[in-house]
Formats: sequence, C-alpha cells, structure tokens
Amino acid sequence: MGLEVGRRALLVMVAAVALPRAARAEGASAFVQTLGDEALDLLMRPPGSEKDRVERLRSILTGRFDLKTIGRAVLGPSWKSADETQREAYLTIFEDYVVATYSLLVKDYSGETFEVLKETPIDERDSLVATQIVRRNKAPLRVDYRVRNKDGAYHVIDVMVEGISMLTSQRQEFAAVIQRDGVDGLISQLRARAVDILGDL
Amino acid sequence: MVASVAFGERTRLVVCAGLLALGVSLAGCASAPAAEEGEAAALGQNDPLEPINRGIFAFNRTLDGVILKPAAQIYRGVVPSEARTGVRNILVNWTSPVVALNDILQGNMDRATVTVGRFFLNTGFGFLGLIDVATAWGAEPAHDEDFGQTLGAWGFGEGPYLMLPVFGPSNPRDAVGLVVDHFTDPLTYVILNADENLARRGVTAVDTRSRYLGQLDGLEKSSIDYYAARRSLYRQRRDAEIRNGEVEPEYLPSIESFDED
Repeated sequence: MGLEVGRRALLVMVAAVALPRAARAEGASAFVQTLGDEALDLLMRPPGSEKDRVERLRSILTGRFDLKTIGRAVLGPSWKSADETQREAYLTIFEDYVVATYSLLVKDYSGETFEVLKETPIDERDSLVATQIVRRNKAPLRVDYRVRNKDGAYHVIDVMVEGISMLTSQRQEFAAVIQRDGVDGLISQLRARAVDILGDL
Repeated sequence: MVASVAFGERTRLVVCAGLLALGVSLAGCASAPAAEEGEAAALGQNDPLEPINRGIFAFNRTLDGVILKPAAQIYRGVVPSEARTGVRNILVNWTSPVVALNDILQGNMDRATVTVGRFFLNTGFGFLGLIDVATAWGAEPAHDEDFGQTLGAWGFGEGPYLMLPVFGPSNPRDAVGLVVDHFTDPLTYVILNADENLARRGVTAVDTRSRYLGQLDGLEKSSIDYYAARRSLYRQRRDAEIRNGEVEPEYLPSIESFDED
C-alpha cells in the first residue's frame, strides 16, 4: 500500500518534470515531419507547370519558415544600420531569393525516404530537429532544422545540411557583397539573381 | 575520455613546438579557437589575402572549366554507376591508413578500430577494396579523417583563409595537414610509384568532382558572390568534419526574432 502510494507520487513527479519538455519535443518534431511530408509531396507530384511548382514551394516556405527572422539574421550587423525603406525592400526580395535558391536545390533531389531522428533543445524557445534523407546508392543525407516555438506556433529559422548552415552561408556571402556594394547593392544583386532563376516575377 | 584528452593535449604541445620551430605560426598554438569568435569570424571575413585569393580562385575556376569539370562529366556520363561505386570503394579503402592514423592521433580508438577492421575485410575479401563487403556485413560505414582535422581536434584554429592553386580552398592548418597526409600515407612510399600516385590523385579529383556536379552548379547559379559562398562553405564543412558531423546545439548562435530589438 505504502509502496503503491509512493510509486504513484513518483509517477506524478516524473510526469510534472517530463511533460512540458516531452510536449515541446513532440511539437517541433511533428512540425518537421509535416514539413518534410509537404516537401516530399511537392517533389513527387508531377508539376503542372514550372510556375505552379515554384508557387507551391513559395507557399511552403512562407508558411513554415520565419523568413523575416531569417532575413534579419542573414543581414547581420547591417540590419541595425539599414533604414526602414531598405529593410522592407530587402525582406521582400529576400523571400524571392530564398524561393529561387530552394527551387534549384529541390531540382537536384534524389531522395526516397525522410525520417526524423531526434530532437535536442537549443534554448528556451528553439529546438534542433535532426532528420535524414535516405538516398539510393548514396550515404544518407543529414539535415538538421532549427525550429522556433513562438507562442505555440512553429517556424523553421535555419536548415543545416551535413552541418552546413543555410543562414550562416547566406550571412557570410551577403557580408562580402555589403562590404563592397552596400545594402542597396545587395538588394539589387539579389533581385537580379532571383529574376534570373525564376524568370519574371 | 580523460586519457584521450590528455594524450591529445600532450601531442598538441609537441606539434606546436615543432611547427613553431619550423617558423609556422598557427592560431591554435597561441589560443583556443573560441578566441577567434566575434563579429569578423561570424561574418567569415578572416581573409587578409582576399585580392590574391580571388585571383587564384579565378585561375582555379578556369582550370576546372577546362579540365576537371569536363572530365567529371564524361566520367559520369560514360562509366556506369556500379563501376563508379567500385572505383570510389577502392579509393576510400586505400585512404584507410591515413584515416586510421588520424583516428588514433585524435584519441578515437573506436573509430580507428572501425577503419582498420574495414580495411582488412575489404582488402582481403572485397578484391582489394573494389567491393565494400564490410558495410554489407554490417560494419559502420567508412568515415573521413585527415591531419588538418586532427590539428582542429587538438584545438588549432583554422587561421586566415587561403586559396591554393589547383588544390583549392584551404587555410594554414589544412595546408600543413595536406603535406603531413602526403608523407604519412604508406602508399606514397610503397606499392605505388610517383606516376601511379599522381594518377591516384587525379582519379580521386575526378571522382570527387563528379559527385558535386549538381550541387556546385546550383550554388554557382544561385550565389551573388561565388567566391564568398565557397569560402563560407569550405569553413563550415571543415568545422563539421572536425566535429565528426555532429551539430552541437550549445555552440549555435542565438538568433533574434524579426520583431525584437
């Protein structure tokens, strides 16, 4: 009897400690699983047209990624010095540029299955969800998603492919352009490149 | 673990002394890589030789466009996938001595055991490495190590970015690593003569390039500064290799949300 009560008390304590973390863990992993399924669906379904495919890609990216937070982080210290007009123009073109970049990435896709491996907390609002894409005749591709939970809504803020961060890559590349041509130069070059890849927007 | 750290630390001091005696100064001798962090490092701009590096990069791209890329395209177009896998298996198998040495230098005995075990299985039963029987029989897949990674694991910072002619992106640490790898590779002395070694390097280059045809084309197409993009990619890839592919959450930078100050 005493043992039973003790065990029950212990269970309640364990649940109290474990539940919030478990609930969050499930949330971010489930979110990435959904994102992965959407992406696979996009890749598997025969595209109606190139334009159609790009628009579906855009809706996944704008819905599941926090592109404003990513865009700000990518701009680095220049975000603080940019004025309101520059920030707005930059964020608008950044979305197009990210859609263009991903449209090239998914073209090269040869994956068959996708699985969530594990999830690790980064800080009180971010988690790292590790996944892998299993490919034919190739080593599995490790993809880690940094997911931010903001008031219960999940968004991707970075994607790391084999340990290489998309956000860091863009920040370091953009820094070189900003140093040479300034933020306005960056904006016009991003626009030119996005138009180049996607055609007329 | 403690033993491996102590082993690594002592070896690192010996190597530091040796390199300093040779007049090579590496960031790792003076300070831990953490000291390099900061705004310049976060923006990936530790590149004092950038104008020269960009010139060499342009030269390398021309060379790639004329020789390596066409060779890789022909290789992928003409040689069937199964044969290319065999070639790759042989190349990977015969880097095992260098990989095992660096596993040991990093105090990573489990990984060294995997490398040595795979080497004997694949050499003995897989026709000198043509067939990767070890993986088929359930062994861990092959991993890569080199002396540049070992220096990194011992705490040497990468130092400034360097673009080497022909060899491509590098830094002082990895350039030293390239030389050490060459001289610690038994194939340099036995089995192969100089011409055969050169051929082996050539085949390795074509094989590697053939596996990155799509990715590099994509990167070139999407980047607004291809040099800076490759620089960032190289640094991040080497960091990831030194960590043996693990992303360590505690080292990720904090990211402010769009609407935060």
